[in-house]
Amino acid sequence: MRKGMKAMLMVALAGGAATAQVARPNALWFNKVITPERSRQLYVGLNQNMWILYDLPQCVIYQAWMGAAAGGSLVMASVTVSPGYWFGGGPHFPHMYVTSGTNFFKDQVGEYFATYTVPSQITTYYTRWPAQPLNYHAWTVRNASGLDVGAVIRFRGYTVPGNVFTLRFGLVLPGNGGEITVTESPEYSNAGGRNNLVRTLTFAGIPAGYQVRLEHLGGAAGNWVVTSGSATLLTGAMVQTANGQTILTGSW
Amino acid sequence: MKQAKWVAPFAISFVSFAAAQRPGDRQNETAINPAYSVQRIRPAALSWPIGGMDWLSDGRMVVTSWRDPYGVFILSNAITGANPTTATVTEFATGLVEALGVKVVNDSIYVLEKDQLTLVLDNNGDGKADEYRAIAYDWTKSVNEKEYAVGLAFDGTYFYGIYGDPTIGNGTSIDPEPAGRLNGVIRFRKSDGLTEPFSGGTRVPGGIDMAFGQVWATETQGGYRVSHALFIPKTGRFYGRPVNPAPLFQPAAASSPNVNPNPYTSATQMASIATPFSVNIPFKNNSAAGGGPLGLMRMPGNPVALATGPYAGQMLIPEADRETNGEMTRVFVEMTPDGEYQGAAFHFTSNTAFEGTAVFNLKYGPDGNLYAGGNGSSAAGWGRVTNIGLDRMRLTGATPFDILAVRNTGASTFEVQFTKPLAATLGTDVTADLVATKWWDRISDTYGCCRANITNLTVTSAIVQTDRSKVVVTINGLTLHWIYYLRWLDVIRSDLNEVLWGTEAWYTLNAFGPAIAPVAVENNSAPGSGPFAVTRSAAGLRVHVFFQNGAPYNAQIADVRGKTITSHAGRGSEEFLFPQNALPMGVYVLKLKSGSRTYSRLGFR
Repeated sequence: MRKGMKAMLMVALAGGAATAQVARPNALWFNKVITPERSRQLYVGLNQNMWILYDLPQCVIYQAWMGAAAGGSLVMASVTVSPGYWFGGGPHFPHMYVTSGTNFFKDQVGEYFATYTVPSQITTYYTRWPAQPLNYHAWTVRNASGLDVGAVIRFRGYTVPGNVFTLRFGLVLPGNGGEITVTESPEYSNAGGRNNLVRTLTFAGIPAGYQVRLEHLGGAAGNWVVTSGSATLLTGAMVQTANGQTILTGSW
Repeated sequence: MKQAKWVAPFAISFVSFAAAQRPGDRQNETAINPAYSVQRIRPAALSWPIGGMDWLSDGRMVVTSWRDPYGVFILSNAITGANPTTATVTEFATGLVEALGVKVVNDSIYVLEKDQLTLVLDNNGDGKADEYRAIAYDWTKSVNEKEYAVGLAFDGTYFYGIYGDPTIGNGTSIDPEPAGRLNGVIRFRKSDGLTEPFSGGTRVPGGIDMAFGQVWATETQGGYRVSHALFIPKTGRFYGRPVNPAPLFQPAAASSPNVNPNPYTSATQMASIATPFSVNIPFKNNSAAGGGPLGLMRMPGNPVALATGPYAGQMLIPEADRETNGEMTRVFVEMTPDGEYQGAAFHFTSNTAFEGTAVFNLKYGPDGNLYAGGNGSSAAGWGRVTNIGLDRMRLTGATPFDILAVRNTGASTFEVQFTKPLAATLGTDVTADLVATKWWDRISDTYGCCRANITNLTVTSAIVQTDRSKVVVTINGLTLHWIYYLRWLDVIRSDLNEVLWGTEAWYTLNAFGPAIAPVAVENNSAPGSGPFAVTRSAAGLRVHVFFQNGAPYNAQIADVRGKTITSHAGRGSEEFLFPQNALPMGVYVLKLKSGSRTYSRLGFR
């Protein structure tokens, strides 16, 4: 993003936090859904021009789109998913969410399997359901030596006071190393005449010398810029090395 | 309301038609059991299927909706009053995924969604949830819709949910299953969300709840299920439905359907691989089962232990499918010498009593009445409509003439107990009035199939005992892990010349008795009667006693089988508190004894 645009965005976003109920495009502006790809998804309608989908186990935004008032619709599953495998008997009632509109980006995300899953079963499973990437980690933590410590992403839920959505999660460090807590509040802005997804991230509990990395920004890395805070963008990832707040903005 | 099945003065001539079927005798009931009345209480604003039900300490009802979008609603405490349809309905939370379980603990609302156990909080006190806290989600959940999560039972430390496997047509499971999918029970520690796979081998769960101090669950007929099932999930046990690849707790001997769709060859061999169910409840249609007598219901909801009324100490299981002829079913269980439970299923109440829908949730309310929550089923199967039911079941004080219990008392004997003495005109030998059949449920990958080795039995004797309410039945050569069907001919009469409410019993025999006898539950005092008053709050159960002249008393909290959990001794008029953590989960009984008088009252947690 060019410097001028970044400055314009920062001015637009400096208006202060909303105190009144923030208007959303739909009464059902946040909703946990099953999509044709996977379960444990949550859409958030920030604005008619900005809908986002979180993968909750990975705590990552993997789809953003211009979705009008509804963002999509709930449909009978057999309409969208091969009935021969998943729904041979037909669905019971509509519950699968299909987005509609124009995507800003849509990435693949790894499937979540229970921690007690036998690894060989994952291999077997992917022979029939190979769509999602293996060994996917949206967030990683590296130690002072730059090595991935194998932190476990732990989704903690979300809050919605005043129609402001905040995702809460942790990155659990191995060996009783504690937990780095992270929150993310996404918001829409039309600053600069563009559709902007403004992500306010807060970090606490980052050990000295460690770095927290958001490995998948969403779509092309070139659409993203750090508009506030200490994070840096590095080879397609956002890298955070200190506690505190960072604002990451994507524009389309 | 139909009060009882009385014999008309001219009915003696009908005895010759004893072979004809009628409701309760080889036909499903068409009315409400006379022990209860049913009242429609659904407020108009409640216009969606109910997924789960529970109560806040101030008497408000918490329900989850089984409809997109899935939410949590709160009904004002008018719902337990004289004008329940005036109760207000307030949306508390929304945006959930198939929330089929809810449990209120210390006025905090926990919701079991298909994909997550969620604590829903109102931090700013505006009456709307503003935090959806993920307590646990460590189970595999694919996009398949039949991976149900049903709950919640809570034992004071752990929540319990029961999970189905991903199935496609005719109950066949997906092959391969999503990796790590556990079709069984998973429990979650309330304090920190620790998730523990608990047991395996289930199919489509019906309900899970606390009863007699333990977790009980129901399962639905279909693939690897000839009958519905009632059982106590226990750690590490496998309950019979194998899938591929094998999940936790599935033994190698339980071949998955891709290897051998018929892994079970005999009742004994099956019991050595899969834990037998406490009670097999017959599917209402016997064609898929391969013949034999008609059954009772199409899909079970959650089991409820009854603390009051003529069937106290037994369980009710609601019909969770809108099967016109399906029944809310009654179950009697007894503890066998090895500490397990077994027992019998009986006719109880026509499903049509509940607004023409199905009842997925049956719960005691704070007023001691039962509340039946409809799930919106529009027809047999899984359609959902909005004109669902919510009904209140009250005891009428009537006791129908019925088979109260069937107990196994040894390798060749059952004891059948009736609610009333048999007519003297029947004499003491009623051997000729009893028909007995047995079979074992050979479960397999073939949907609902099959009752194996259906065998008509010779009743050696059926002798009426001295009090005339019990009959000792002798059938030689009883075999374990078979189901025994006992049907009294419709000539059996009470000493008041009543016909039986239900003539049939289905007994699951896993161990020879006699059983460990439960402690009798005393009759309940109606709220407002007796020298005491109780107030329920998040702190616990506050009891105000007012015995005259400083009379000593003893107060006890007991479970529904009479076991004392905690007690308090005092004198005269005073107040005391049974703390929340001293109350057993589920239904309990408060007993007050002073001198020769005993008072008791139902409570629940």
